[in-house]
Amino acid sequence: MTKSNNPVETIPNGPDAAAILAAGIGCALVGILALAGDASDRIGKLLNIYNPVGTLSGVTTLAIIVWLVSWFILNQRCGQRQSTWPRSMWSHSSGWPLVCC
Amino acid sequence: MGFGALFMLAFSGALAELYRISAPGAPSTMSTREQNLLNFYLLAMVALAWLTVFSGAYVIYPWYRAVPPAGVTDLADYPRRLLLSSGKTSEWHNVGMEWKEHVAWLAPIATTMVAYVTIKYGRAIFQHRNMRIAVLSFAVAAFVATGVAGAFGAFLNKYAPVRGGKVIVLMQGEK
Repeated sequence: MTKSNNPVETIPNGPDAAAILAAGIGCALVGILALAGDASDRIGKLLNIYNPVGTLSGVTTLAIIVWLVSWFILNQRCGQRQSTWPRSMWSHSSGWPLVCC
Repeated sequence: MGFGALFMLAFSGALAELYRISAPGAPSTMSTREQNLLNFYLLAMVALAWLTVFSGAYVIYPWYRAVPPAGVTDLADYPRRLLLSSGKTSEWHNVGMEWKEHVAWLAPIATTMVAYVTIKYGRAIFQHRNMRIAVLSFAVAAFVATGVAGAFGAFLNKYAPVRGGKVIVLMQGEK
């Protein structure tokens, strides 16, 4: 096995992985909650936390909170290590915003 | 709209720079000045992105979806109701505005992540192919989301017709 001389390879990519995956979760949640709010009156009312803005207020607030919390948790869990996530995981995380669109 | 336009304009520069430093054959290090400039540029974009969506959602959008008092027949000051009042324009709200109000929020989330990763790792992140693809994908997705939101916004403002412009039928609604 050839040892790499590139110092870049030794930098833990955990924080990067955590940020990318959390952003994917946040983006996906915007789409999922928007769909749920439109599909169900009950969920729509629950998401209406600021009446002038309607369900959009709850959708975006909840998505932002989940995004930040998941980022924090993921960063705690894999922040100092080299991620060995498979390539497909990267593909999925990077594709989530496109799916959400 | 001002924040959004600036954000959209800034995107072309950010995408070009992200691609430039990640392209094959690019120098493996960046000077401190280059790195600081890129960091400042990305942070300004993040600020613009969040200002755009928060001002749009909490300043402009309440005006858009205001409910007219009973008996009001002139809906010029109530854009949502104006659009929904005719089958020729109702889909501008049902499709256009519904898309615009949600898809725009992808941009600040994605841009924040792109800025964080780029600032934290600098040129190093682009040595990892899969990460580079993920970061660039999010940057492009944010650009597309901003473009979709901006385009729908422009049509809604100018030709929906909210300002009395020519009616462009997006899809024929029921009403």
